[in-house]
Amino acid sequence: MGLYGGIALVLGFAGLLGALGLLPRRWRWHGYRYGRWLLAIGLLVLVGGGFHASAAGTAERQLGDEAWGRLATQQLLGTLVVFVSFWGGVYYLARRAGVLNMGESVKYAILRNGDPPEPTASRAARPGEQRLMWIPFAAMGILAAFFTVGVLVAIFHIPPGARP
Amino acid sequence: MGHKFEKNAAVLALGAFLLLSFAVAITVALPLMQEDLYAASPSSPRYEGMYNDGKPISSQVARGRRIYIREGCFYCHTQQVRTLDNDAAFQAPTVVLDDGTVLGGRPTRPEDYGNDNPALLGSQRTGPDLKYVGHRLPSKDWHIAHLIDPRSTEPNSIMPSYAHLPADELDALAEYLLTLRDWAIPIQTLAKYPGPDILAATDDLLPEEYRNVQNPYSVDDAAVLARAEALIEANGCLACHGQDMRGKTAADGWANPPYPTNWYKAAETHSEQFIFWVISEGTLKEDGTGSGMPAWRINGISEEDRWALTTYIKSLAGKE
Amino acid sequence: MFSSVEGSASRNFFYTAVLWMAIGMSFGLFAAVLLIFPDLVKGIPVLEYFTFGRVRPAHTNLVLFGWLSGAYFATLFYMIPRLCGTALWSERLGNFTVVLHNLLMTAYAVTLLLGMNAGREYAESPWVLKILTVVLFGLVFFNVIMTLANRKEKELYVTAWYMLGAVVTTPIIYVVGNQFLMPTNPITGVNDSVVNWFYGHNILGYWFTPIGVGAVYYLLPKLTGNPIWSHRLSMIGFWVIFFVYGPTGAHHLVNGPVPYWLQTVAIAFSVCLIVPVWTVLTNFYGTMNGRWGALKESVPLKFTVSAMVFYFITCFQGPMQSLRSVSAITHFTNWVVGHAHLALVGTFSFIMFATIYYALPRLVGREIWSAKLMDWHFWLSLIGFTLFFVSLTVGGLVQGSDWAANQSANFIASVINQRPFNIARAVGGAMILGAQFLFIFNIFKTATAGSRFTAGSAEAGSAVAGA
Repeated sequence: MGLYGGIALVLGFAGLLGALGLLPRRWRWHGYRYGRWLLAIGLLVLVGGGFHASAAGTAERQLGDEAWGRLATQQLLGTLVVFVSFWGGVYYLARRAGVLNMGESVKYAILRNGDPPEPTASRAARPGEQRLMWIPFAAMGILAAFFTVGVLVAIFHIPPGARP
Repeated sequence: MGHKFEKNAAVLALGAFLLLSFAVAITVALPLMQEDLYAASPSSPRYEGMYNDGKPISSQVARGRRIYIREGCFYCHTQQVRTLDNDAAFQAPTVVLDDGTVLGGRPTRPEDYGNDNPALLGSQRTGPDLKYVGHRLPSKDWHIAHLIDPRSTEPNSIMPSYAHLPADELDALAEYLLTLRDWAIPIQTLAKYPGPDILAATDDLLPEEYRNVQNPYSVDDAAVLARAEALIEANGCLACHGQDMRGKTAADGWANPPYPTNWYKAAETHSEQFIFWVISEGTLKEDGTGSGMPAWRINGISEEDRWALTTYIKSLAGKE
Repeated sequence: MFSSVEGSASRNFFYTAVLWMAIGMSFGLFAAVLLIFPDLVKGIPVLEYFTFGRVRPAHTNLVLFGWLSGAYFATLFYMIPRLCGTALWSERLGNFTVVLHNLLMTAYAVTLLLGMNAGREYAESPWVLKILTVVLFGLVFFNVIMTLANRKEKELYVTAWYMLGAVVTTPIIYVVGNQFLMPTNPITGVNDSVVNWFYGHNILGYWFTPIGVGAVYYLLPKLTGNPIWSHRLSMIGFWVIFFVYGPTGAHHLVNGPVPYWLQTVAIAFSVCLIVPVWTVLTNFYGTMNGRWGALKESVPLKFTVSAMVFYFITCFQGPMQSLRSVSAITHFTNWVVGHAHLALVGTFSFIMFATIYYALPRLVGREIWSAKLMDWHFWLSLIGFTLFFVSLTVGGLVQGSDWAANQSANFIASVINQRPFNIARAVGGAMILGAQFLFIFNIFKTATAGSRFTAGSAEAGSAVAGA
């Protein structure tokens, strides 16, 4: 399941960045075009992977809760149904009430609320500074890779019969 | 229209409340309605004055549990055996009763916690799981020695010392720890208890099945002796029998009955059959008291390995 | 008797919160050292009672309820009035809650060190103190709600959403999770564990997360000059996080003696948490667009961006470790300790440092005393914390694989193998604590000797780091 989740994550995140126009200029057009598709594929991988993992999963065949284990697919399905119907219902009601076209003006409210901003808020942006964003992005990527690799190494370090 | 929605703080508050209620309903209320999460089974001891097989749990045990909580033992020790192979060593030993019922050898279930109040499942294993420690370490002396000076029983332990606790509190804690077992599993006892002074016991106490067994190994076999040393290391025998194998532990002065057997003396006093018998069947009496040596036949040491250990002890004869 | 000066309650909560931080984090370091030198206090009169099992709850409760919650109260009292365009409803009541908070935390410290432990994690304090804690939260929240009710600015900015959501849900979680505050736990057995972890995880999700996230939504525009990148995204993030967080509690009991269906629900919702958290992070990064240069000159922004990275990691690790197969390796290990600190130190404490650097000059009318100390505070905290959580994560994986390799038969091997990681973690923790002492000194000097702060003092030596 972790594998499915990882792939879904990468696809979904890339798709999200694309759809929201956050990619560097060179790829921005491609992002707008394909972003939503990538997001959808990522979601599909996640859900489909969930079903596959629960069907192939061994946890329920081990010691303990045998009776419950067989219901794993049902549980996933049930959770999905609840999630989708609840949020579907909320979305439908919100759309009908016209609430989805929420005023964007409220986000400017804070800029004029009387609490003086820091001097950095009025600082002129200098060319090339946008590249600084790669520091946290690189950190996130490195750490995510570190955790994933770490877990995989730990799992494969264990003799085959004893692996989870 | 959208602005009005945001201005209405009451809508927001109600929405947040409803979402949380959904979570409470599913994850708190629903489990509470599940019958099997309440029932206690014969496997679980029941604390705080309730009964176990008609016998009241002593107030000393209940007190010990409160001390366990007071000193924060549950921050380093769990009391749950997971539904995973990883946790297999923490399970209660597998025992097959005469009528074919199989007990033990399984992860913990809700009924093993009965009416524990509070439940002490724990969330960290800085130290080992304790749910079935009463099977692995049935010796009260060991527990008191371990509490007073953990490094005397396990040199690499990082557990703090509780030597500063008064004697009756240490006694209560040890009593509590001894109740951490699967109570459905009958205590494996010696056919005939060798008596409080094991050194004075003789071969005529040997039960039938141990009278005529033969040691396949010789005391000069270096490979067997090396194997025995590895077993002693792996099973922590020296925790009770002393790092010098003369039976001295940190429980000196607390020991009741007298501290564990000096191996050198045992080698000179007893026959191989007697030593093999004690290693295999432990030293618990039928009422669960006794000097608390585990029954290694039950606790997973094979017959050949037990003979290796017997050989090792016999090889100490005359070397005092 | 209690001051009614505008901003005094917020300021006083900030001051006392950082003091509890020093005490609580010191207990944390002490506990870490005890894991390396277990016989440290043996034989020393009085001190010998302060074993790990007593120091640990003192540490967790003081940093959670003394430091972080105290700073959160201060943040509520600072941001809500400014978002409402009206003063805090009652500074007097606010200052009363400051005094109550400090008395309560002192009582927590004393009772926990004396071993008066209820046996339930993060809910250890005696029943009477729990009642008082609810009273404290109630009084703070009442002040907040009255301020909101009397607001002049009718539109609610997203920070106000998050904070109001927290105010409404936290008391419910505290009361339900502490067994409805009945002196004898009516719910026993594994159900007790289920309720305990409902509480333990949701106090994070409905108290610590919303206030922290709300604070960033306030700070980023103030630090960068950009409005929030997408208001719609912030609304989606709010509603989804308040929905998804609730059922995740049982992920603390995965593979344990609780019903399989409950575990599955918790795991599914834990994985779903990726959606709202990454949504929030996308919004944060979007807001920074075009203003990244400010990072070079602003320590609060450095702390905020670091917090964003750690928040991402918390919500990358979290869903991962809730899966049964990963949990098999990470459960009960140091990995979990690392994860908890990633959220509470790396994310929320860092956000509070940024908030304090931003708010304090405006509350006391003085510039931060030393820009250099701010820099030291940041770098020492960041490096120390990185060492801390990396060593715990690797150590945890070593523990987990040790146990899996021989089915927990040779337990002591995992203890022996942890030693270098415990040492590294203590070194990291010492660096973090050292950084906070610099921080506290800087705050003290700011309050007593800082130069005058005026609105828009762009040139006049304001909090520009590295200057």
